[in-house]
Amino acid sequence: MQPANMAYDRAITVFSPDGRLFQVEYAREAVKRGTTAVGVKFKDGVVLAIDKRIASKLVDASSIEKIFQIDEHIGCATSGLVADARVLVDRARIEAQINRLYYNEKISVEILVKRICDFKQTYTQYGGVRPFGTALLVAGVDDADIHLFETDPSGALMAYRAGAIGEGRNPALTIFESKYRDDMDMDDAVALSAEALHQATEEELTSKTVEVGVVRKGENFRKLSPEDVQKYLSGVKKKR
Amino acid sequence: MAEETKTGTTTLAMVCTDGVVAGTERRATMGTMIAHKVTKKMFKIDDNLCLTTAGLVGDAQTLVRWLTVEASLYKMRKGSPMTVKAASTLMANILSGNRYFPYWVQLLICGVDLEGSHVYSLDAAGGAIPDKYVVTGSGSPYAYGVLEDQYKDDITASDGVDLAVRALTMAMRRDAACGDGIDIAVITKKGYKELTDEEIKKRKEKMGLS
Repeated sequence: MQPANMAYDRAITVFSPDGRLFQVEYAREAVKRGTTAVGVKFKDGVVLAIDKRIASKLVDASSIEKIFQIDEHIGCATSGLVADARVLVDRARIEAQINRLYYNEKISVEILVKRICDFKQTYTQYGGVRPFGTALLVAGVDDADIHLFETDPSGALMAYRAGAIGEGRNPALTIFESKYRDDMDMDDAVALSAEALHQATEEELTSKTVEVGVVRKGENFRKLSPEDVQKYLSGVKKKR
Repeated sequence: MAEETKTGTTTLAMVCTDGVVAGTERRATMGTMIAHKVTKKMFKIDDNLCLTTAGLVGDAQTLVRWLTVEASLYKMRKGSPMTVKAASTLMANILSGNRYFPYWVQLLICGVDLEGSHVYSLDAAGGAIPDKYVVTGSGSPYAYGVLEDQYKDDITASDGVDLAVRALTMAMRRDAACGDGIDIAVITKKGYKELTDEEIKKRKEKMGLS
């Protein structure tokens, strides 16, 4: 950081002369250092997958959770600051339930994502707060369609066919760009996700360190059991 | 409640195979006086939603404005029209939230959405009950007599209009608080349509009702 710029990263409500909000950009850096999370749409659903990046053998891997159910039909994968992610997930769950209370309907995925983003955005405009150092991949199925959204710390959102956040974003996206097809089934999508994670992390993937969540048309969001995850991982290993 | 503010009305709505039909008569009373003869008791909330009101006019109109706004926000946010269930649930929440200073109304919300045709009746305490057909107001016993006799699950919207006209006519004949003409709305997949006086007159003549 140039000394001339220093004043502009103290309070986030202040633009720098070239129109940047440094605190928001720093929050994006926090996401770039986060564990890799990927999401892939397939013909009748979406799969989410993350690598936990366990720091020590002493850590109980099952206590680290980065894929969350938001409502029956929506799940999300997180990357960045884990504590910030939990706050956002809690907020998203509340927004989903508020919609049920108001309208007796499941919230549409797009509306939910916009609500999360509105919430994130307020932390880029008011004083005394900092932005969320977290990006989310939100996957869901509603009566309109199958959806996969990415949200970033500024409160921006984008829809993807296949997306990735965190440290391994670029290698994962490279894999998706060359191998993604619209007509994949669930097995293909999970396998592709696992391959992208493998490419991104350069570590041995095991069922203990990989979490996978799936939501399909006509089914609720669910997380795959470690046994099922292992099945997909060994499939990827064979291919390589 | 003071005699002057006691209201008599007949409103009805029914589910048909290809849509919904809603109907009201047009009389507003204050005690024994006919206060208004062209009272609007039926409101278009959106192309797929209709609300009929019985009770205090001021309360009803407030709720109509409220629901219209909510329906239009809902449609813009979600990109699809408000479902009948959503409209009824929202309105029931509003009514329930004012439990101790209630809106003095009995409402029917009816319409068409992706899941089909629906009619909900709502009470001032926040109850919302879906049904095949419902009648509200002081004329309801007479109108119910007709519907109980002639409503069928496989009724078309066109036959539903005739049945609504017949039921309202009977209520207007026997209930002193009802009269002064009929409003009918039909909602199908094609949209919302209110019948003209001329169309209603033709149907009455065809059925031999004066």
